[in-house]
Amino acid sequence: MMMNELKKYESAVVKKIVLGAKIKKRLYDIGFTEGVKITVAGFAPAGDPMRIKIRDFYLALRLSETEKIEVEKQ
Amino acid sequence: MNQNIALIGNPNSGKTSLFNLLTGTYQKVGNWSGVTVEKKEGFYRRDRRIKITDLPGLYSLDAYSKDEKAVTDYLKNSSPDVIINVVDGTNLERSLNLTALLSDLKIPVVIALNMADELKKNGIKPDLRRLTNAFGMPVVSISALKGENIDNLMRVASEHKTKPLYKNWSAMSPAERFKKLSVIAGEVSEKKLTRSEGITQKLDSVITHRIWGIPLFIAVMAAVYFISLKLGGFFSGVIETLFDNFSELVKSGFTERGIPEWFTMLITGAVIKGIGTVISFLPQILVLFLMLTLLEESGYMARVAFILDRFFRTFGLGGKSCIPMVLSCGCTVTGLMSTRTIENRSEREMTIFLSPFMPCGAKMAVFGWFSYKFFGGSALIAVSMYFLGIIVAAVFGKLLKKTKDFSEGEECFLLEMPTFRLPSLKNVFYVLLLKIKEFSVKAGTVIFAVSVLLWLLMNFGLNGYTSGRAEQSFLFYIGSVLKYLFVPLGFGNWEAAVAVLSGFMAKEAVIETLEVISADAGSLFNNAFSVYAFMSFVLLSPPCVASIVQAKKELKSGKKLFKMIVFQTFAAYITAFIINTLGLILNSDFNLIFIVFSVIIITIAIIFCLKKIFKGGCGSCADCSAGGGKCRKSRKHNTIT
Repeated sequence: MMMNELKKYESAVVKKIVLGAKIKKRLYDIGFTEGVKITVAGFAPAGDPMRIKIRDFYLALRLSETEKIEVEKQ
Repeated sequence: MNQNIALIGNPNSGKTSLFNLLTGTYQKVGNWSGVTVEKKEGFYRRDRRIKITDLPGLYSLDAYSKDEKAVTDYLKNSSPDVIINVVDGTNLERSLNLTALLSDLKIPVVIALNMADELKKNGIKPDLRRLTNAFGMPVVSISALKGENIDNLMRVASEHKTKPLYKNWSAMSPAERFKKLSVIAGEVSEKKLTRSEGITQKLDSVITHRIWGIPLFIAVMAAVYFISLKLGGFFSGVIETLFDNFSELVKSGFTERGIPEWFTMLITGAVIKGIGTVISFLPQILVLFLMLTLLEESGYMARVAFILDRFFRTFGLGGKSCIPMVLSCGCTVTGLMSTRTIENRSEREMTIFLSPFMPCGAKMAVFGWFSYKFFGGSALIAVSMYFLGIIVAAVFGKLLKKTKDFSEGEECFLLEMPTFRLPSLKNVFYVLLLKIKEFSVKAGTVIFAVSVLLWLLMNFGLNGYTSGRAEQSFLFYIGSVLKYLFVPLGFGNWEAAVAVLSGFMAKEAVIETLEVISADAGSLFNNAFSVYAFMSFVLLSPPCVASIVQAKKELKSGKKLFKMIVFQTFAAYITAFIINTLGLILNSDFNLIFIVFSVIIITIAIIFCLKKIFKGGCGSCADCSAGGGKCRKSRKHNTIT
């Protein structure tokens, strides 16, 4: 499934990032890599961006990215 | 021996806090990513031979945004003897990625494991030896917030000469590297930060609430303004009285000693009055900065960016533009500087164009004065300026986005949300001290010069000293030419025209001018609407010289700067014109012909502008030129209708 389909408090493992090289590199740099576990912590008022917990910190990501990230729900 | 030590680490890991402690200076800090946007140099306060360089935060050694480029350029051009890698101990796994990449550089590195106080509170005792063994770097546990173990860190750093273990981390795939780093991080500290995280989670569930998040933000900002005006306004009154009394004292003293009248008038009427008026704003500005600093230090800024991102995107900006805009409510110069963390060029430049619409501390003082003079001291009128700024930024932002210069598509949005922290009293105190200093300098230089210049222009004309007959002065001539520009805005008189002009030196000067040259400010305006039109013109017209210089620095192009000034003048003029025209329509004694005339002019102006702006389409994809201006990709690009 895609990351944007996750609901609040659901956890998943990142499988595949289908994004441009530059954005991908940026995600990698902060530890958003294939195989990392993420948990949805919440959504902004408009339902976008999404707030996730990853490697002990919190990160906000937009729908335009999360809909292109394949995850496996846990 | 002279030594070069560089501070490198992730954003918001505490580099600048450490730098301030080491050098005994004060550089701005805050609890969000990207406070430091350019390198800062200083000397260790215990040993002036050691030079310390504070650099913007980054996650890897590749540069994406302008501030990160400052770091990679630094590493390329000046080789530091030792790097102090500031590592956020509460965020070890992510932070170690940069540590690993630094170890490939073959420069001696010392790890400063920061946030020792936070770890202690959560009952975590990191195993420093394991960390040392993993990278071949000495590790010193510090707390930059509390100032713990700082000199010990410097002792270790200044004696350290061995290169780190070379493992060629950069050759590994990121997934592989992080897997290894995760193991190391797990060995260093097994326990997690449950306590601090719990507090942050609870606060976040309120602050970023799907329904209450935005109303809460609006309420917070309105409260910041309201309190600054009311509380600061009280102290302002006291200061004003003091200066008035002082002025009287000087006047009588001078007259007794037979000092020429014109000189007495210069000192009391211009210098003391001008500087006094401006100094009386200081309390308001201090209260404003106190509250904005509390917001910055707590970690609220990143939340603002998070909740407003979607809305900002509807007019071509992003969540990261929120921070410059909120900071601009304090001072446009700081706001403009913080745009450097925005990676996307068009988004960054748009933020530079729009941030000056926010009411900065100086403008707030102007509005406070106007509310007091014309609206019975109602703080609501002043607070409404803040909302007007947002509305105008939204409307004109949307128009700007349609132009060719700003149609570049969006890029990745990554926003780290830091743990909430209690603001450090010391930092708040420093900010206030810095503001007092800045303000005094301003009052002593720019404001002083404006006062004297205005007075001279007002009291001298072609025939020399005018002895109080303003109609013969140079200032009158200048204002009389300019005033015609402002007739459609409702303040077409030479005094108001000169006041607007002086606002470009410093916005506070607007009031100073009105106080100095006009005995009765009320007679300058037709009605309440034209007062409001004047206020909105002050709010939206190009900012003070200091901000324009900063904007030039950020835009790096005179042409773009010129565009910005034209754009802001245009926005200010249109808005003030609409407000004044509304007043004419609503007022009972309206002049029908004038209104019809105005409506025609507005319509023509708007149509003309829209045509100019919409010409060329969004240009972000081939569909535009091919489809005759009809864009099918409505989600990703701007729809042209």
